[in-house]
Amino acid sequence: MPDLLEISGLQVEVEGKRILDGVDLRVPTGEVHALMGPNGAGKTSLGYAVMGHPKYLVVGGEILWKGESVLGIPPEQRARKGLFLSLQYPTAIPGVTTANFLRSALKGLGKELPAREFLKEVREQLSLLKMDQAFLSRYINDNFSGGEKKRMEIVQLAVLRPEMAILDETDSGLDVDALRTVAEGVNRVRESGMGVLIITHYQRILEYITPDRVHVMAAGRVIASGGAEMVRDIERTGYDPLLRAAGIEEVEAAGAVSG
Amino acid sequence: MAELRTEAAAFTRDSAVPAELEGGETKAVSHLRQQALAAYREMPWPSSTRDEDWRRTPQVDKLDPASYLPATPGGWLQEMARPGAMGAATSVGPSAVAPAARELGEALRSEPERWAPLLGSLAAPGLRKLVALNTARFQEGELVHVGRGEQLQEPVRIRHGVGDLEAAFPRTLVVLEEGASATILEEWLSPESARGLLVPVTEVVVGRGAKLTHLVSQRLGTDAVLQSTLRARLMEGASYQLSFALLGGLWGKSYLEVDLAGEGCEFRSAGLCVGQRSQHFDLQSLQDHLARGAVSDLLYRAAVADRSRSVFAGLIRVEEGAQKTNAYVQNRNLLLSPTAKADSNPTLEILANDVRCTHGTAAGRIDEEQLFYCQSRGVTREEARRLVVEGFFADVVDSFPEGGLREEARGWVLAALDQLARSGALSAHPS
Ligand SMILES: Nc1ncnc2c1ncn2[C@@H]1O[C@H](COP(=O)(O)OP(=O)(O)OP(=O)(O)O)[C@@H](O)[C@H]1O
Ligand SMILES: [Mg+2]
Repeated sequence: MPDLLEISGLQVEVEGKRILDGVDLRVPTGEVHALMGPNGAGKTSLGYAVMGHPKYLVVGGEILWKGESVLGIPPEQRARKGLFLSLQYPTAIPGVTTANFLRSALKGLGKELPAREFLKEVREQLSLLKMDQAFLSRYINDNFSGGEKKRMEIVQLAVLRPEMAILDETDSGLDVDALRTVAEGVNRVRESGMGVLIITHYQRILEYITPDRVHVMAAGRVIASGGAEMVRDIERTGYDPLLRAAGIEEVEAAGAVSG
Repeated sequence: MAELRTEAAAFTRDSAVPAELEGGETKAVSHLRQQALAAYREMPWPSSTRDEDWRRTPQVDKLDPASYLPATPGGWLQEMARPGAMGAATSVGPSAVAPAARELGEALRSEPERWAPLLGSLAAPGLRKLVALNTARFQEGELVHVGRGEQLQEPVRIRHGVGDLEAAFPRTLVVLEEGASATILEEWLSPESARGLLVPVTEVVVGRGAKLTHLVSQRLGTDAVLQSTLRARLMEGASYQLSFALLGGLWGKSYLEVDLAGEGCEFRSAGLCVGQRSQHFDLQSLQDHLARGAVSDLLYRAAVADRSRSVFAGLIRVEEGAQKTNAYVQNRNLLLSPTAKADSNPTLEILANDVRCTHGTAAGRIDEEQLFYCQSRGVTREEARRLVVEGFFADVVDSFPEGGLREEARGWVLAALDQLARSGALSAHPS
């Protein structure tokens, strides 16, 4: 059986600038992988490239979803195949209510629910994520606090039920209780066998959602992979040893790839 | 050749008004008509090169009202308000059964001394060429009179339209006496692709402490031309909420002018426009603060697709002595194609010193990140664009009169967006 997600030799450019330079990463079905690495390593860019953001131009390599290439396929079709990306900075859309947004998303995914069931489902997920029901009629992410935006991403994850979720720093900016709430939210959806790629800077969320594998990115590629124990090493020593082993200067790691 | 014909046409505009008045009208009305005839002949035709008002709407240079046929009476529905016309609500008391709207001509015949002096008191024939034309020629019209303290429960519906090759000059007079309240829906319609000219003039008097909610819906067919004037006067403590949707027609100019004449009166307005094909919408507003402590707030949102164009000029004038004025005018434009255009020119003219006035304008395109966000959740790009445009109008629609009318209005906007989507205007461009 092919992996759920298989990225190989991925090269990505933004406005002519090389951002990813040969990323290799595989997430088998049902597994949880963590993706770590210094600021500017290219983690967010990888998520965007997998989801098909038009600004992130794939100039080399391959992204396979269940063994089939998704390159050249628009984001909505990747979503329909089962991919979900929780954004590091979720976008606000003034004037579009959370309810309307989610209804449109379900419709697009071909998972439309009758009005009553839909409301029941969203209300339930809101309360599970400890969010007020008033968020239903608020404009999506508009004037939400940082933590509210992150929780709303997980509400969406729970309502849309993808086969794989890429969570880009969903734990950043959450207070301790919210972090647990969010992690529990992710774990509930995982029960159905969802694959997860958690992009994070912190050990904490990985205590709730234990990764099968950990990958470290720097300078636009994956420089190290290992078991869950890697997280503690990184916490203790930082990225320096890994960077040095990969022959990457610290300065370079924090910037885009040159050339 | 085309040029020649245009030139020739220009010389026939005088015949848009009759050489002489027909008899049969009361003295007061024929006096007003006489004034209008004279005013029409005296005033030059608007010019895009000479008149600031028309600088961005050169279509006016080729418009000739004389080239249209007189409208056939009854060709268009003129609905009188009927309690229950809106369904649902049941109401009791005399106000609900009082005839809230009546035929203007009939009112002028039966009570000339009462209504004739009000006609033209806000939109005088000399105000503009097309107001003179309406005054000289109006046949159909409505009077909405709500007596002192009366509270109309049901919305009053007024519907004006024009047919193919016709020109229609509907006239509406709305009078709310002290403490009265009412909701009016005014619709401007024409059959799809009918090449008509609609010149509606609406005068509105909101008496002391009265409260008027007014929704204007312009849903003309694709080929109609609109020249509208709405003038309102607010007395002490009056409240006027004006919502409007400009959705149809080939091109048009709409004047929207409000005198805040009474202390502490309040004018709140929100409107929207959806432009497609080569539609051209010109809106010119005036918030004229004549009295102390009045509030006015106008928000206009236009989304323009294809080669369509929105032109907005909004003036806040605060007259000397109108201290403690609060006035705002804001125009937001969303450009949905590289060839669509929006001109925006809100201005302030302030002669008092203790006032708070602001104006704002912004034009932008759909944000790529918003589209990606929608798409990443499964929404197609086209549907995402539609969603964002719908969101762009949300605060305007949410300010429309509560209840059935708001839902009805939402339906018009959604229908316009459907049309945009069907025509490919939401998918044709990369961003
Ligand atoms: N749209 C863009 N335009 C220009 N540069 C970009 C763009 N997106 C990413 N980059 C650059 O690519 C590099 C990788 O950015 P990315 O956001 O993927 O890093 P990251 O690993 O997610 O960092 P962080 O941990 O800080 O979130 C950075 O140098 C960044 O400035
Ligand atoms: Mg990032």
